[in-house]
Formats: sequence, structure tokens, C-alpha cells
Amino acid sequence: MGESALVVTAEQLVGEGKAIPSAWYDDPSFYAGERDAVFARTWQYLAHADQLAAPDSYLIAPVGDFAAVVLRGSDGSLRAFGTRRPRAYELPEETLLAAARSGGSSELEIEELRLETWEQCYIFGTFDHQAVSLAESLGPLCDKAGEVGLDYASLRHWERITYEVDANWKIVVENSVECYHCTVAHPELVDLMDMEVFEQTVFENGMVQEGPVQGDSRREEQSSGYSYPSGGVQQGRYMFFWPTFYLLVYPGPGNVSTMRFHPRGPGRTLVIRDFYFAADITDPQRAEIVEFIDRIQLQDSGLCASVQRGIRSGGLHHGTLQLNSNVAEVGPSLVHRKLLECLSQVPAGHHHGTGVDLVR
Amino acid sequence: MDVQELAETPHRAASQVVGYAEDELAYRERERIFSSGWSYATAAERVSVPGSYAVAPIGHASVVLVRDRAGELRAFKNVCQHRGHEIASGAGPCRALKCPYHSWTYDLQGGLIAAPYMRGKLDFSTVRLSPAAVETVGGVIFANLDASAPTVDGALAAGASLCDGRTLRETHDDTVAADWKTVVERLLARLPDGPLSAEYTWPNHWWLQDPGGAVVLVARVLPDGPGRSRLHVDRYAADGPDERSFELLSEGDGDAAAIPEQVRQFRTRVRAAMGDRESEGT
Repeated sequence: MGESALVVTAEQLVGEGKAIPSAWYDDPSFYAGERDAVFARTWQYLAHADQLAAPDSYLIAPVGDFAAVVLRGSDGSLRAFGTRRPRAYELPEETLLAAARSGGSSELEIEELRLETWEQCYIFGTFDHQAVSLAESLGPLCDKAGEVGLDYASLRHWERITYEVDANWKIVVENSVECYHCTVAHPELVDLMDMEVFEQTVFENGMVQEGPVQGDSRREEQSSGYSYPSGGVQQGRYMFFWPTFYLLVYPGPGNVSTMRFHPRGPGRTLVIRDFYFAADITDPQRAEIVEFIDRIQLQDSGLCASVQRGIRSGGLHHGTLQLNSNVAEVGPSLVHRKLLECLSQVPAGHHHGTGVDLVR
Repeated sequence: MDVQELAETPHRAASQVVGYAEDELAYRERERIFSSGWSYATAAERVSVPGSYAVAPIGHASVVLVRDRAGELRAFKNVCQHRGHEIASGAGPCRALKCPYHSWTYDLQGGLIAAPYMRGKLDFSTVRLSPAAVETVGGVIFANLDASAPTVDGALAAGASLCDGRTLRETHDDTVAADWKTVVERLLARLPDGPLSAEYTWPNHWWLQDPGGAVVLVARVLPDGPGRSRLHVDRYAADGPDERSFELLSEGDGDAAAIPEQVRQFRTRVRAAMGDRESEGT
């Protein structure tokens, strides 16, 4: 009963351009509630298939602030075992591996995750065995990734960069799903992209931002001197999958990043970016691309940390979203809608301190 | 059901939070100690000219001090009403306050005057920067994140007279990898034996003066999340060169074997502020 009432509320919220209460980005008791409401129930990116190519290989993957061990059996089978213990990512690797292999103990409960793979290489898992399938959850994002015409699984890993951001995970995600700030905060990015024809499309569980790069003449004029390799994909397509995964396809013959956001407490987020390239992109081109994206990400990290400090001042009850342009804040709006949905689906009595009672 | 109503439901007890006890404690300390206390902000001369501003840290946050064109001093919590980015940093002349995240812009009375793509969609007159309380005593500005706070208390304001006839020369802001309470306790134990006379004011201020009286330091320990704080020091000096440096906190400082009385009193005060009625432990 409360569920449908809440969805209506979420739509009203979005319609008014009214953001979720600012305390939800800061209050540790709200964060504790999100752990079960969001991170125990959604699909989370765990690994790239290449990382588990060899029989009997394994890796430890953070799942929100939980953790899972993904195992490739000697028969080639893939399974994952995780714990929903808060801050499990801080446990020693041996402890997690031993628990996963033994089925857990009274000290560390272990559950098997459900696994599915996107584009033959991006392995996702969820603790929720009742969740809709990954493919269904991705919905139109599957088509959006497919339309690009890339053989994602053929691209090889080049580099990983991680960022520790002093901000709540939702601040970091919201920063990534809107480009209203781009003309103000990322001048060199706007030099590269044609913001006039920047488009965004929102789906049930995600969104796509896309746009062509500026024409060649414009690119020669711009100060950064940066240009994408020619050929292949003509325009950037950046696909966000709620709550914390990004598949970013950049222009060129094969230039893809994954990005994910891992909460590390109410006011900290770990961002992991992996870069994948086709063989015909040269090392200097790769280095230039990585350096450029790194520079933008560092600008975003600074913006997010400032938002966290601003919110802690107590001077903002709730924000206001701009929903009136081709750079409308429909991404943050999506994040708020999904968050409210997740909170509404936690059974009554299981709100571990969200501080809100959404089901009435 | 209104989302605003949800937000105002009381929070659950800290004991129900699993895993992030130190974040919960830091959050409650912000609420109960730093969100409503008066604090030294900065020297009044930094915002003496109409059409100028200065950002000053207050506890875990900061305020924007603005001298509007009519000459009135105002203070705002440093947060944009759009998405929460800090509205300003640094200090200087200003015609308006423009947020560096999405360019939402406020006049010097705190009213929204520009926001890209929002004209006609938002009644700008309803959006204002959130005020803070502000008061000038002598040449020093005090501020309080609680805009409804009554006048600055005498014990804190008394320190302002030390700065008379002196000018704010420089500011040091150093990150310390320790909880703010640990840093306060170390300073309480150490400063009385140092070269400066030290006057402590709850919860995090010191007014320090050298015996000759030429140099006055206003030192504050600012909370900066679990296990992290900032030591923020404003140095005031009379005219003329003064190259002496004073190190308030040094690497070698450990916990003293005997707990000084001031540290005991500090711990009692923290417990009282946090609503913890346990008897005093070690």
C-alpha cells in the first residue's frame, strides 16, 4: 500500500524540482538504512571477465560497503559469495576468501550472490535472489550499449585509477549524472563536446547522456589541444545504471571506461575507473585520454567535497533541481526517485535507522 | 505523504547504527556542539569596504561574511540553495555571490538574482542564502551558524580586546590526523608550559599572547570528520616586522601521564554537551 503512495510522492517531488532532504546526504543513521535498502537489493558491478579468465582464479569485489569473493572454478563456472557485514571491504582478503570457500561461520555470515553478465564481459551480482534479472533491470540500456557496435569484450584493460572523494555517494553519483555544471566547472570538457546538441534520456533504472564532439576546426582552436582518435564511434555515449555503475563509450575506434562508486561511510566515496582500449589506439593516445579524463574527475571530486561541506553547514533544507533545458538535472531526479523506491520496498520494521518511515 | 514530513521524523538512536560509530559521533558533535555556538570568525578589517566578502571557518562548516553596499555586515552559511555547493571561498571585493558549481547567483543581501534556465520556472524572491548570526566586537567578527542565537557571550568576546591595535597578518590552516577532541586535549596540556600566555574558551578557542604583547594568535581546532581536524591560527601583530614563529602543536606530543585539570574539565563539558550522564572515567 505504501509503495504506490510513495511512487506518487516521488513523481510529485520530481515534478516540482524539489530535491530529497539534505540531511539524507549527511546523517549516518540514514546511511545505515541505505545499506540494506539500496546495496543489498540492487545489481552491483563486480568484475570484468578478463580478471577471472584463468581457472581457479578469484577476486574480492566491494559491493556497496559490503564485499564479495568472485570465484572461477576449475570447471570454468563462476560463483560469488559475499557478506552483508558493514565495512566488509575492510576485512583482510584471506578472511573473506576463507569464509567464501567454507560457506561462512557464525562470525562472518556468507551468502551466495546471483550473477549475470552484460556484453559478455561485465559481471554483476546481487544479494537479492528475487530481484528482476540484470537484462530486464538494464532495460533500454542494453540496446543503447549494443547500438554503438563495439565488441566490448575484445577491448583490453589499460589502466585503473581510484579516487577517494570526501562526499556522500549520492553527491558523487548526482554530480556524474548531470552536465548542467559542465559549462561552469569543466571548461576544457565543453571545448571538446558540442553542448548545443547534448542529449539525455532517462529510463526506469538508468540514463544515457550523449553528444558529438566539436567539429575539427573548432577542436584546432581550443586551448587544451586535446582530440579523440578518429574513426569508429562518432559520439560519446555515457550510460548510467542505478545505483552506482557507469559504462562510458568515448569517440574513437574502441575507447571505453567503466566507473563505479563505492560508499565508504556517510561522507566518503571510493570511485574506481577502469580504462579499456582497442589494439589500434597508440600508447600516447591512451595516455592523453586517461590524463584528460583524470583531470575532469579531479575537478568533480573537488565539487563533491564542497557540496558535502556546504550541506554540513545546515543551511540547506533541500535543494532545487533545474528541469528546463537539454542539460536539465533529470539525472539527480532519477537518483531521488530510485532512492525513494528502494526505501519503500524495505519491509516495515526493517528500516535500520533510515530515520524515516516510508511505508504507512 | 510529503517528503518534507519524512525528513522531520526523529532519527534513530546511535546504537542502531552498525559499523560507522565514529561518523555517528562526529555527526552528533556537529549537531550539539558546533551548530549553535559562537565562534571567532575573522578580523573586521577584511570586510570593512562596502561590496566585499570573506569566508571564515566556523566549527565543521564556514560562513560567508558580506559587507553590503549600504555598509551593513551580513553572514550566511556557506551553502548554495540549488544543490549545496559552498557559495564562496577566499575573500575580496564582490558585486554578487556566484556559485562555482552551476552559477546560481545571489545579491549581497542573500537573495537569488540569477540561475541558468530557471527564469520563469522559479520564483527567485523565495530563494535566499541561509543567514548566520554575526557580531563585531572591536576589530573582531564573531559568528554563529544558529541565526537565532542571542548576542555573543562575554567570555569569548573579551578576547577581542587583545587584538586591539594589531592587524591580522597571516592565517595558518593545517590538517591534523587526529580527532578534534584529542587535539584540544593536547593543547590544553601543552600550551600552559609554552612561551605564550594562553586563554582557553570552550569548545575549541585559544587566545594566545607573547609576553611583550606584540603578537596575538587566535587558534581554533576545527572538526573535520572522524579522526581528522584542522588547526586554524590567525596571527595578529602590531606594526613593524616580527618574524618569530610559534609552534602550538608538535609531532612528539603524546598523551600526558597525568591528566591536567583542564583536560578533565574539558571531558566533563563534552559529556554534558552530548547529553551523556555517565560518571567521569579515566
